[in-house]
Amino acid sequence: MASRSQRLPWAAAGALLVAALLLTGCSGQSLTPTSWPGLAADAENVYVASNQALHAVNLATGTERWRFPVEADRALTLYAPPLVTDTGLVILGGFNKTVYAIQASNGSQVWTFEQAKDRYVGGATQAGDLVLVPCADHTLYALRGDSGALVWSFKTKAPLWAAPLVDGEVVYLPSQDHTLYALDLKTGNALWSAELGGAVSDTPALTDGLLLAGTFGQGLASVDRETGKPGWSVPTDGWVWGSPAVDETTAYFGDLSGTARAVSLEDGAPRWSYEVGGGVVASPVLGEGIVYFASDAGLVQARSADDGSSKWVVTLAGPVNSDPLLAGDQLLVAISSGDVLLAALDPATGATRWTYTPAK
Amino acid sequence: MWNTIILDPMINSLLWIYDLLWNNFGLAIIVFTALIRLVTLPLTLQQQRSTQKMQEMQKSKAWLDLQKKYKDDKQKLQQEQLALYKEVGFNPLSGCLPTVIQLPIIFGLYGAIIRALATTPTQLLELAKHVYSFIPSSLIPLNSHFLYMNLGQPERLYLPFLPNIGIPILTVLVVISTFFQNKLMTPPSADAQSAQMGKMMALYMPLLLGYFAYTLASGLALYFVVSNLLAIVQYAATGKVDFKKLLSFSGNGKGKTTKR
Repeated sequence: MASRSQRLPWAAAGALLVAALLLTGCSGQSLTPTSWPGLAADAENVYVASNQALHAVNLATGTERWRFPVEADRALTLYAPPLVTDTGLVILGGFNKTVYAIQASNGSQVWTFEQAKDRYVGGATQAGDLVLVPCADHTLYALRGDSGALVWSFKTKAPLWAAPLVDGEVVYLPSQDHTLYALDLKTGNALWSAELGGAVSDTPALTDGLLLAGTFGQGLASVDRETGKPGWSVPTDGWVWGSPAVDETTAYFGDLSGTARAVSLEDGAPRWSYEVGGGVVASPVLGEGIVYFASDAGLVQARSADDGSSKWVVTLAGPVNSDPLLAGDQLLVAISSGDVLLAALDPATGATRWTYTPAK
Repeated sequence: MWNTIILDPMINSLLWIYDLLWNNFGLAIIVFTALIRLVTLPLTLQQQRSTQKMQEMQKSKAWLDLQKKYKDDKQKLQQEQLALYKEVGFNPLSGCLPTVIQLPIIFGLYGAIIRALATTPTQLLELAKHVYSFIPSSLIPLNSHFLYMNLGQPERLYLPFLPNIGIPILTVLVVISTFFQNKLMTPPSADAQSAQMGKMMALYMPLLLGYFAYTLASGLALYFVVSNLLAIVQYAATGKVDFKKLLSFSGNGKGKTTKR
């Protein structure tokens, strides 16, 4: 039997191990998800990137078509919203510094791009033959869509977490360095840049004359789409993480303090606002006269775009931080935690049509 | 409760210092660690005084007599030791209490650095919930570059002639400074059990912290190194450091481990 003096050092080692587990747990890097699911859809499938896999799910039934990779890979972490190209590829980057091009029809890998120095958080954007992929290594990579070959790159001063917006020959790139850049699509050269006073973590929205972007700390900012000159802005109590939804006259957006707003596109004047219940990270989505908001308290709400009056509210099993998606006459909502990954709701009533729970 | 009293004030102090120090997060970690060390200095000194008193008592004739007299009756020995503590007015908890009070501060400091670094969306969203309204949002995200390091990533130095081999300089510094700190600051013990425990700690602690430094964000490794160096400096300032101990590899104390 071990003596007390022999046992004590092992007790000390045990205490150290407990401390190690505590510290590792505190770091939040071992168990907690590091982001929320990314969503995209085509006519047949909805694609959900979440944790270690990209899931292709039948839009009509909610059954899984395929998943990439077929066997779970612990080294792989996928959260960026996938891009479905007009050539039938699904493009998305992972936390392993790799961009994957996957055949949308069967989930087979077509090409990869592995030159980045940090993870991919934001989704890609298609611009003709190019795909533009923002990376946390501060760089926007323009790749050939058919091969993944690098065409040009553009470096900013902070991580890029959001897909750029392409309009004609101009790329509008939001960056966490507080700046919105306009780039030449052919060369990647900067045309102008606009300092917005806060980090921009989602794709800007485009109206006739303005670009609108949510910022951390400076509310909703607008700039002239031709010159980058600052326009009106709407201050908010919380950070505006998502991008606004816009129609002909109004911009709709929410902030982390939980306020949803509708403001005039002309001058940013308030039209209506209400408290969602929970912080709003996700971008709202516009339907036929209805705007849908989701919150990190798991609430999904449909409001009249005209006056903000409530149409319906449902509470899901976990936080909703991913942008909801209207596809195939359904409102698709990804849930950030829990067993159910995806829910398809009736846009008119909020009734659940199907849910998707990935098999373990 | 934990967030309100410990974590949030620490995160916001760290951000405030970062703002003052030209948005240099490496400097902010160094200064913040130094401030925390300064604030907890009275507790550290009390702990050191208590340890010294314990050592002196363990060298006393009365203590040694007790060890001899009751060497075969551990229970009785413990009773008599407690009686001796009482007689000389020594509270054995006086050494533990400062440590217990410091622990939440150390964990809070660790948590503040990890949260402030926020390199993923979930971490940044979590940070947003902790930031006071008077801290400018324009600070976010923090500039995590310091010297050649990205403080949000594990540190590796790539030399021009070894472009594919990352050298974990900070990890090596963590292991060495933790080893030195243990070696210099662990008091010699007359008690075989304590001496053996000290030896185990001196071995495991540098390896454990080295593992953290190698795998987690380098901002933490920087904190470990600064904290170790400041602890040694503080201890040296009390005039008790014996640098000859660094050359001694026979253990931390006079007590010899006995084979049974």
